[in-house]
Amino acid sequence: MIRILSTLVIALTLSLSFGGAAWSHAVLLSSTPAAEASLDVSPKEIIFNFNENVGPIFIKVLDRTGKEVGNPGEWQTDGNDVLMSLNDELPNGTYIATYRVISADTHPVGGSVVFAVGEPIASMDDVAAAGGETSGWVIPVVINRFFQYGAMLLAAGSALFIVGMSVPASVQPSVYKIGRTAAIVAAVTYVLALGFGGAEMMLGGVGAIFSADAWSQALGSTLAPSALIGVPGLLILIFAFGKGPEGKSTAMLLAGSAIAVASFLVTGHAATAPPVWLLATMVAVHLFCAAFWIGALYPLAKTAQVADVKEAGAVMTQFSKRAVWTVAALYVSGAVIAWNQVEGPANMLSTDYGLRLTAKLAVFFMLLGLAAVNKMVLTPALEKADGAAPAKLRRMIKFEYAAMVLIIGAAVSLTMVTPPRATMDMEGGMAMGGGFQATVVKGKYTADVSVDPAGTTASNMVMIEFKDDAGNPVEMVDVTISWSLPTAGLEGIEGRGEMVMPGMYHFTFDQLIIPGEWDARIDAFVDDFDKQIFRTTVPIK
Amino acid sequence: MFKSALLTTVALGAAALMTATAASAHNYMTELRAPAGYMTDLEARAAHGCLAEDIKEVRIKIPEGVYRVTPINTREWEVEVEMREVKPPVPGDGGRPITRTVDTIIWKNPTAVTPYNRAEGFKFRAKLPNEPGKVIFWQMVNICAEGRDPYTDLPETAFDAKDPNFGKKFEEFMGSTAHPAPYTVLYKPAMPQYPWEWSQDDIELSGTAPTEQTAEAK
Repeated sequence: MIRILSTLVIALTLSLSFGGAAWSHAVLLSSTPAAEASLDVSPKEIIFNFNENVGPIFIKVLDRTGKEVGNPGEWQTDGNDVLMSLNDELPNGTYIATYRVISADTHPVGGSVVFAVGEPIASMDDVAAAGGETSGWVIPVVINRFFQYGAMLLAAGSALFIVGMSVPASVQPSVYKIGRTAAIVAAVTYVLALGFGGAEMMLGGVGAIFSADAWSQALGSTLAPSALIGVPGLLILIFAFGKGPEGKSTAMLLAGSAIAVASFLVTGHAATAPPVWLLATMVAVHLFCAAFWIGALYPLAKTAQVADVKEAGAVMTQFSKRAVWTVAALYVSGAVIAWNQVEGPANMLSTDYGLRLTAKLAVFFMLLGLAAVNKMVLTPALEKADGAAPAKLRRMIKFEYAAMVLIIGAAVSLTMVTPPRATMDMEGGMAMGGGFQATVVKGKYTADVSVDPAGTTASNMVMIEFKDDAGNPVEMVDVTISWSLPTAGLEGIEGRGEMVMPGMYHFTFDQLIIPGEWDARIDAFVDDFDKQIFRTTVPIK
Repeated sequence: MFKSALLTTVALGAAALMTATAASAHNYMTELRAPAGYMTDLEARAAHGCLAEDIKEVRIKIPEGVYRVTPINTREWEVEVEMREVKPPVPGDGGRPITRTVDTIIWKNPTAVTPYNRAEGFKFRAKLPNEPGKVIFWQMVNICAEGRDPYTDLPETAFDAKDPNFGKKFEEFMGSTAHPAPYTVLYKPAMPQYPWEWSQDDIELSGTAPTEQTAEAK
């Protein structure tokens, strides 16, 4: 009896549910204005044309600040069209028209189109020409970075000189003092780098450095791990230098300088370029050698000033022997880094990065010339107790100081542009410096996401690189990104990625014209059926 | 037992009604429910063409527990299968273990296009697992002339039609995604599939044997 009842109920529900009708969910076929249209005059209405009758939930037109314009709340349907009249003229500018409608299958769908009135929509060429937006904070960033590099190298170099050289007793106290001062200055610059860097990332105004958002931006960037490593290393040096020559601790001096140099390996294009094991090693060697050379200049000048000629000669001879290997290592490591970053001699004079590197090399070779004079002329003169040699040596060291200042300046300027290695040569020659970068992990896959310039004034290029847990690129069958800005009620901005090399996908979005925290959902199909969903929030400024 | 059967029936009915009124905007199975353990003819439908483009290929993933899969021949599509190993082997009918099974069926290179506002069916035959209450999801992807329209989303945890909250959970899942995988809910059949498995009660229920009274009247 129970079976009969069950069967009857099943039969009844079968008959009621037979043949689910094949409705499609709504698809936008066209819009007026068309997507990315640049209109001479303000449109009189916004029309979205779908492939079926839909029920509108909302239509909005937003300006670049996210403010709703037009006739909020007033829309009509006409067959498969949903439209909203615009009674007032829209001022010149770029707008985003967005919709959310219910399909015939009751499933909601949303989308957006961007259009402009009285001005062109910003193109990739505009961004390529501008090189991305900057604010007034770029100047403090550069100045602080100059002192950060110089002070860190001087502090670490002073430590290396004390450990590696026979420093005359009369010179030691001042070397310790110089080293300590440099370490203190360097530590302060690491902290300032966070504030200045965050304010620059936000393109903030004068008070940006005092905003929590600026520091939050900085803490989310590689400036934070660099500071977390660099500051403790410098604190060790401050303590070690503070003990003076009587309390010399070789271990602390070496540890402090090593940690301070290591702080440069977690940031920047050079140290993080693949293969990381090679480039990071080369950068470390390059920095240690540069630090030793910079750290040597003051003690050598001081030795020439206060010590007797013979003692000065002995110190210079010792330094010259070490300098040969130091300069060789400095040159080789620099050449490897340059070759990796520049990707060919042709780029040395045809790219911004290449020109700055060329200038740095030119000064370096001048410095080599000065060093050669020191080694081949002044050092032998000191050994022969030539009374005029110390003054000549001090004069040459002043020139070396000046060259070092220029080299550090050139090195800082290199950090402000993108090397050819990191530049993807797309249709418009766009530089992918990455206004925003993030790594998202989902299971055994990672997605390195880069959005350039992450700004509202131009097309945003998105690059995503997928890797497995062994670091190997993963070629996905299909990758799409869906953007939404909940605070403005925007959604449904979608794009499909184009593979530019195995595991790396490129997208272009013109619709991210409103500043805010945009949610990006990345759907990546590892195979036909296995979908991995990555989510991240991208600040668009 | 009555309560269990009633709950199962009501749950199945509720699921069927809900999905019927929500209609199949997505790819779907014509058999929203099927008898557990039966060798069954199934049809997967692409509810419409690839958004506004032609479909040029359809792939369906055969889930775990479904064996003895045979695509039904069609002269309008090229049909291929991709196989996978079954480890450890599972018992098959007639005492032979199943060591390999169909993993994916591929229909491609159609002789004519599937317009975006028309549905199309893809048939195959398979032995369903003998697990009443189980919901089988058939992940499908429609490959368009440019792009893909996947129906591959699965619930985070497997559904069981015997769960009192089954209907609510199913509705929530269907509302949470625009790309759910087509599904078939397995129910306990009233009787075994083949005549040689029937008991006398099964035969009387099916009405295949005349009663003694009828025979005497003749």
